[in-house]
Amino acid sequence: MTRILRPLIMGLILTSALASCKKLIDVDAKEVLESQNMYKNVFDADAAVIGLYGKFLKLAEQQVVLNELRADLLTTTANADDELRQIEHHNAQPGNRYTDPKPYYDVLLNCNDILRNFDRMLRDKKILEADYNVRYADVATIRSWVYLQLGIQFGRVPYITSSLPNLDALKQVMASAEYQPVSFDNLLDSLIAVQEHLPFQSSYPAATSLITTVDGYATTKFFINKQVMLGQLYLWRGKGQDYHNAAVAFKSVMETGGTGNFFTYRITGASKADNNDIAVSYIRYQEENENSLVNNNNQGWRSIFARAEDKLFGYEWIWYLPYNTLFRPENPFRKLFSSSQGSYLLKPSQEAIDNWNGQTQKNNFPYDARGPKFSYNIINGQPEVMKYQYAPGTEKWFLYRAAALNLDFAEAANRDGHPAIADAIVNQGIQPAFGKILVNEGDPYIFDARKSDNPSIAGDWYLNAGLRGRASLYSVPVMTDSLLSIEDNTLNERALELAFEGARWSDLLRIARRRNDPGYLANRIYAKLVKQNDPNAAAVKAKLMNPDNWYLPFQW
Amino acid sequence: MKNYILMIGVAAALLTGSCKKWDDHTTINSPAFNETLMEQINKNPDLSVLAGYIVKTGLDSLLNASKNLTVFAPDNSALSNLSQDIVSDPTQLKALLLNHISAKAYYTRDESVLLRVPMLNGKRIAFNNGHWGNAALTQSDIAVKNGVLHVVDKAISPLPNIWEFIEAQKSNYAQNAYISSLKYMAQDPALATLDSINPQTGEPVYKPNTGIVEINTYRTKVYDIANEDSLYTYILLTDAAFNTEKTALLPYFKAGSADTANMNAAWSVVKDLTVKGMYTTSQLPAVLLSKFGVHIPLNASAILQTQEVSNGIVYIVNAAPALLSEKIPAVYVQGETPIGFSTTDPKTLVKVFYRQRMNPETGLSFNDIYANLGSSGANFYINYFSNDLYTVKYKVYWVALSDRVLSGQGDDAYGSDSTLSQLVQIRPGADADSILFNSAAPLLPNTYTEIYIGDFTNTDYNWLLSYPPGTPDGKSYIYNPATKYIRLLAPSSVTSGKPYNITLDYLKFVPVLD
Repeated sequence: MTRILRPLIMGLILTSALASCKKLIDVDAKEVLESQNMYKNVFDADAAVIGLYGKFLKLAEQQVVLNELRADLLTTTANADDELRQIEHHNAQPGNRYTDPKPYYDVLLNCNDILRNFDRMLRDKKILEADYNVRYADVATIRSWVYLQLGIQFGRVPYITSSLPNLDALKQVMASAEYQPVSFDNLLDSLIAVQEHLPFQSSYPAATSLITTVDGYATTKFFINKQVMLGQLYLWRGKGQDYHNAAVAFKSVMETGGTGNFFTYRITGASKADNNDIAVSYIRYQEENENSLVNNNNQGWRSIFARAEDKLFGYEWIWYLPYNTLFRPENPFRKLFSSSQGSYLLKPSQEAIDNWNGQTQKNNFPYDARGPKFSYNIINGQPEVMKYQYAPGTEKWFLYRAAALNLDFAEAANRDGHPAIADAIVNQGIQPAFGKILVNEGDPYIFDARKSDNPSIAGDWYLNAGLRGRASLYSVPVMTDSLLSIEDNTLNERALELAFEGARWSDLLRIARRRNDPGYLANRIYAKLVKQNDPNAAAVKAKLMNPDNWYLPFQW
Repeated sequence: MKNYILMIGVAAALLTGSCKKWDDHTTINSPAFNETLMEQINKNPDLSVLAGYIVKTGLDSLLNASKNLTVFAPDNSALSNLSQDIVSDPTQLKALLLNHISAKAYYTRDESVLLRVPMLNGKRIAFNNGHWGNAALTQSDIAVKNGVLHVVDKAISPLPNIWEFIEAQKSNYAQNAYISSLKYMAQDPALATLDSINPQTGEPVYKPNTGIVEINTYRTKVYDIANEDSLYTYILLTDAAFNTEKTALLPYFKAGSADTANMNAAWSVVKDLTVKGMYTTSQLPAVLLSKFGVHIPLNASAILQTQEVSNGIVYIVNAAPALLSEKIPAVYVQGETPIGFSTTDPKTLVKVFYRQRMNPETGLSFNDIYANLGSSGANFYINYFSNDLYTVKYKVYWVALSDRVLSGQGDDAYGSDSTLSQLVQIRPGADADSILFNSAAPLLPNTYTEIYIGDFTNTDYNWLLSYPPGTPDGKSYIYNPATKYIRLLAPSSVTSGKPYNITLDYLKFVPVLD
């Protein structure tokens, strides 16, 4: 009896337990947000966008290391580890943390997921079309930015625009037979097509709920500029009307603020009476005194990187993301650059230092103060990158500013057959080059530099001082082949102005690709390595003379 | 039941069996690990003499103590020829033994050309290549409970350092007597009471008259030759050679008192006779470079005697003639390092510019000073000083760049195209009326070369070069009776339309030595 009954009773208990399982377990947990419930209204959409930028912020270290250390302005110190040295020597081994594409794809998958959910929200009428348009365009532009970077660093990359749940799913896609990575050229075509057809092309309207204040920071400049992104894509592709289209896109941003706004993104010179400016300036009537250089966190060129988010900050900055000791992620630049607060892993190259010291300021000082006085300092006998160190505790990831915008425009204008305007923007500005006239070479090459007291006229561009004018430098001359000469001048001005901000490798690669001239890239890297007596110099040059080696191996 | 008993028996057997193995595993194989250094020395019949001396000097407690020492133990034969004077004097004997013990364990695996083992008496002895000093290791690396023991075939008496050598030999050598005499009172920061921190420089300020000690300025201004941790080469001249060198330099140190002149000539000789690093006879270069940039030729045939010391080497030589042009060098006064300005109108001070320029002649950048005084700078002057002008005729040159640069900010241009007429004056005091030198040359614009402006003959040098930089109560000797004050002076009047501007990259005083 007992021998038969016992299993029977056990079986009965088990079946009843299992039957009730479904009801017992399948209750929504109160503190877990299911993915299908995440996007319920416009504020959820906002949260997704902010979350995306938080994830994007984690790319900063990799981005700056790849774009500066592979190029000619930055080099490793004795403290640097082997992985950094591999990057400098263009010899990255599998497993190098800086050549891992996963962090980029992490952001991309996040973009794709957000975009799919935005589409669902629109379909389910959970979001207004206008709200959908601005947010969709923003996320899609971030995706284009990340893809452009992947193209620059890796050449042939998987181009995925559909939503995948995670990196493992992506790995499976890449392993499948029909999958093919796309070439950099095809990638540019695809990205331009996406970017051209975005439903919204401007910055977020001021009334958008994303334009607010978070942790004391106004979010206005947190978001990528879509016109700049489009312009850069055209500049990279450089086919047909691309340079013209790039100039149109950049010019639309240069005119932010509209008529009567003389300062926003217009590269104006020193304010000699009070030194409240973002130019290389000296105390008035004391320009010949090196101790009179305006060198503090609130005035002069240095304040671009240190000042609070005020009016002058807004004149220069187009896109930045903040770091703060109060929230994560931690600022990675302190570790890379600072000897007192960090590990001092990277330092300016002798090549970069010599470039600044080869310039002559208008007071005949034999240097460009943007270098030895501001971008780097000699600390305990060693050069140290200072750009990221002027605002301890509230550092930033410098993503895009007016100087880069004007130089991007000059590069496009030069290639589009308007070298005089390009030269003026690189050197001393529109009015010093053309006089107090309305320069009109057809849209977008219209610059009103008129200034007169009677009748009272002040053109929007009359205060434009050019990049070298703002830096208080004499002009660089244009050599016989003006197209290439002005392009070279523009590129070198980028080195002087934008050093260590994470653009140099991109700049060199873009020009080398455009001219189909591997030497353009290879010789500059070679010159850097030779100057620091690096035994790998010749090997690196030989490697970079083959365009296939410009790109990092794509290792998952 | 029987089964259980059997099993317990087997288990017990297994346990005891493995227990023994465990013992083997943990037993110290080297029995010496249970002994102290003293016990190990006592056990070794070759070290019986040493053991006796250790007990006699009371060092046995140290060698039994729980520390981590190294003993370089001289064997019986090494100690057999030890002088009875030492053996019978416990103080001397203890000093000798302390020279054989180090407070840290050094094994032969630590040997290196760079290793100088610090001994308990403060001396250091090289430990390299199977040798400790000049003694060979006969047994090595005997590890014991409180350190390590090496047996060596020689006892090494503690050597004097260079400073002790100088003190001991001051009656035999005039050079040593002079160096030994350089005694002054001064404040020792380690002993003085801290008063405050200078907010401008961040340097500590000490209370006057605290921590006053006697110093020897040869040790503070040249090298601290009593320091056992560094190595020096000291060149000791015979009295005849010392006098020859001194006599050669005497004309350049004329002074109100013959003593001052003599002392300064002597200082000028000896300041270059200690060089950093130990250069043994086999690795002696033809010239040695002193701290003050003077090359001292050292000919092997001039070496009369070589003396081993604990912190380097001493060469006694009968000649080491340095170049006069290095002993009495050219003197530079840099324009951008003034000590003061004089003006009737304080507003002119904002017109003093510290500039940077590129010199196209040399391809190098330089710093200079430019006083952009314009029409309102009559008699404005910039003060400089030098303590390095000795009693000789100097040819005086300047490099002074006068140029005109447009304002980058759209204001008036800086500088001038005119030929400027600035003056250089030398005075014995900051505000002295007497003028020792007063000369000028026309200052043509855009000149980057050295321009000769006149001869200056200094007639006296009334300050001892061996003085410390200040008094014990904090008074600085930067400015002293030998200081020459140099003025760069705007003219008292100029032809109309010309500015009073003055400018200077540097002044160069080249001594005429013949």
